[in-house]
Amino acid sequence: MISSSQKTSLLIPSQLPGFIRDDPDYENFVAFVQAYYEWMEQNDNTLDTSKNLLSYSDIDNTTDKFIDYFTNDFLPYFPQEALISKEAIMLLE
Amino acid sequence: MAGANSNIQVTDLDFTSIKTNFVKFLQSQDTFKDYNFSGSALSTLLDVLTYNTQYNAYYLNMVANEMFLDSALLRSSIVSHAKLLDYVPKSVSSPVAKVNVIARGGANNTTLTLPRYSTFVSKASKGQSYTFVNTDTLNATFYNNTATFNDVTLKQGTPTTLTFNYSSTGNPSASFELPNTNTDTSTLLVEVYPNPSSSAFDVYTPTTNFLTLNGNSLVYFLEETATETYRISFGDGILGKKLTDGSRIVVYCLISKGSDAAGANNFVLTSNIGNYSTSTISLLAAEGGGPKESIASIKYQAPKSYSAQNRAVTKQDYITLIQQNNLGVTFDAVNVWGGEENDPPVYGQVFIALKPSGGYTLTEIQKQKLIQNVIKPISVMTVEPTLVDPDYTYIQFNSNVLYDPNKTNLTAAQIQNIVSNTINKFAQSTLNTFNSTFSSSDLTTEISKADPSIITNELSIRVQKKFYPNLTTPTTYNFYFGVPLQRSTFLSGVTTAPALQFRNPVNLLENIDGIYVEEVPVTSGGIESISVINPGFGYSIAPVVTILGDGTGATAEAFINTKGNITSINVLNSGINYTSALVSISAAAGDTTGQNGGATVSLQGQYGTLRTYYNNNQDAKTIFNTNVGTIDYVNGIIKLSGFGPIQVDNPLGQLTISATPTSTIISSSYNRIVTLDPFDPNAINITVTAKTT
Repeated sequence: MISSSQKTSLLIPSQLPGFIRDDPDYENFVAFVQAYYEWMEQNDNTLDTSKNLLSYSDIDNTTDKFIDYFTNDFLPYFPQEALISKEAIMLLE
Repeated sequence: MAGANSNIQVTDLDFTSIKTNFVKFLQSQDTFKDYNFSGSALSTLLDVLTYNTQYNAYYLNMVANEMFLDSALLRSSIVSHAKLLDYVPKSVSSPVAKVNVIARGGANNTTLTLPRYSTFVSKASKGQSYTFVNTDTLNATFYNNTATFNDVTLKQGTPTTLTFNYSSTGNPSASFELPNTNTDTSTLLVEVYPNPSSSAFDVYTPTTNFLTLNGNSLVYFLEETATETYRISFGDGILGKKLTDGSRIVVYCLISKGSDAAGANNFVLTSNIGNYSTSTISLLAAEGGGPKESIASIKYQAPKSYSAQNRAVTKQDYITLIQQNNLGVTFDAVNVWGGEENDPPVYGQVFIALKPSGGYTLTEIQKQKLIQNVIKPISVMTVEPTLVDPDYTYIQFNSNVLYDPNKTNLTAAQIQNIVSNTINKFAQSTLNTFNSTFSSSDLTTEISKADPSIITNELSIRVQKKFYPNLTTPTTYNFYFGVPLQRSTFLSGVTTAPALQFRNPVNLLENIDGIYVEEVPVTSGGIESISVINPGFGYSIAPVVTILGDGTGATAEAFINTKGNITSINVLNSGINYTSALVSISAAAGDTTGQNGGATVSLQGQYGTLRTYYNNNQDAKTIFNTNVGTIDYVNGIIKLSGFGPIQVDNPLGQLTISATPTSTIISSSYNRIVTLDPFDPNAINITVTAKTT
């Protein structure tokens, strides 16, 4: 989940030109574009993922989805059944 | 665990699914819940936004995949991840040849120098000749007006010299790029001069071991760049000596063509050394060499190298660190095992078998360098490494193929070609490495699938050993086939090729040509041994042993202990013509208490004999020597004893000894490699028959 300060959707109204933003006829269009970004910011959707990508490559902040890739890179011979948690991998690395 | 090279998918990539998801989201909003999303204008807008999302998702997935070594696809990403694991991908490497160089015309006791990078040109092969150079400066002294440089190591490549000037402000990282992507980094020679006008210099060496470094260590660090060139960098005064401002760095290296020049031979020295006339004797044709390490290999090796932590303890540590050597030698296969697995066991040693790329065995010098410079420094102190050459067993394939001419436009010759390619491909993918298994039925299946017109096929194989007999001293050879061998039946016995020449033992001035080795045909079967299966009891005298069967003449005697039990039975006469036999044990005359003893018979069959023969002037087959060796059928061992031909009718002097295995499954272990000889025109024999209606 990305924080409010990282959300592009909150910036949409202010980024559109004044003749669209202030014209009541375009009210739904502004809401539509904003909804598009809100949708992309949902969990695991494109914007959410892109803004979290750097943290996925950090063993301290990654998700379980990427643990296998860390173990393949750094612990290829370590018995997988012995890996009880992400914290165990962090300690081993 | 995620599989190697498995792809990461962080977001949805399917257009329809993305659009449906977007529409559902909009329908959940109060403002848009009543909209008709399939209307043309809105649908077009939705399509545009969905495409935008899909493009973003695609690039995002690509970026996510490049984040890990396991899933990355770009070489630059893979090399960068490998750098994190302290792994330097291997550069292109040059083939190595050996020559003696002889110079003539100098005054006795004067010294002649063969400068580094003197140029040698090989004889053209397939329209291409290659330039080789010696990588060390060598000296020789004239004696009898001749100076000889022995065992000169030549490497293929174009010598290149790069000069850099160091400035701490312009290049604070003290790193310098070697711009040619085909630089053989094993040939790097780095000299550092304190200033451009100085003639004194220090030689810096590469390192990946940081444990022994200090601020005065004359080392450089090597890495591959994102553009597949190489970069060397120097220490910071803590890990490695720091360069001083104004230093001049001179780098010598070879630009290589990889393994293209493997096989080059018959070198001519084209550089002028002291205006003397020179000649070159080739000792070893160029072998080895290889391309830049592939991304698949980097992905495989880098994590293992990291796990090995630059010390050899486990089997995989040895394999990884040997593959990673910086001697410029690459290996197709490496196998390692503890001496306790040998028969008899050899404790305290680790055995290492290596198959070099583009060659069959390592030279003695390569072995010594590998042990001293690569293995010893990283192995456990009390464990002695021993390098052993691979023991090659070649398979000769004989395939009979029946095909339906109504199902194909291909000719029999084209079918034959397809089958030949199938066998070659199967051999490449299945054989030619340690711990491989050949299964005849798997290959038969592959041949059947090679073309739809093939109805069926049958495959027979022969196993072969190839060696160079000692032509000056009679020598004993042992060949381990690693598979039980068939006793001689029609065309299945042990044979050799090509013909040999021996000295006539009766008249040593006469040589007899056209001699071959063959298996002595078996005409009789005797009793090999008798095993006690029930010692019985109460025997006061050794019982009488009677051998019953379809043969004649076998006799044996029993031995008893003080408790009245049979301890063993020895065969006194093996007899002849037994195909089955039983043992009858009866109490001897005067023994009233002995009973119940039992034993089983083993018929002869484990060993066979080899002899030599030739066809005399009248074309009559004549036995030259009745016993030149033995065949251990059970263990698959052929022994040639005191074998002393004086010539082999083959330009290479190579003799091939062939036998038929009893099993169609052949496994290799330890230092044994089962393979197909790509240079043997008789390695694959195919008979194609069209089905007649």
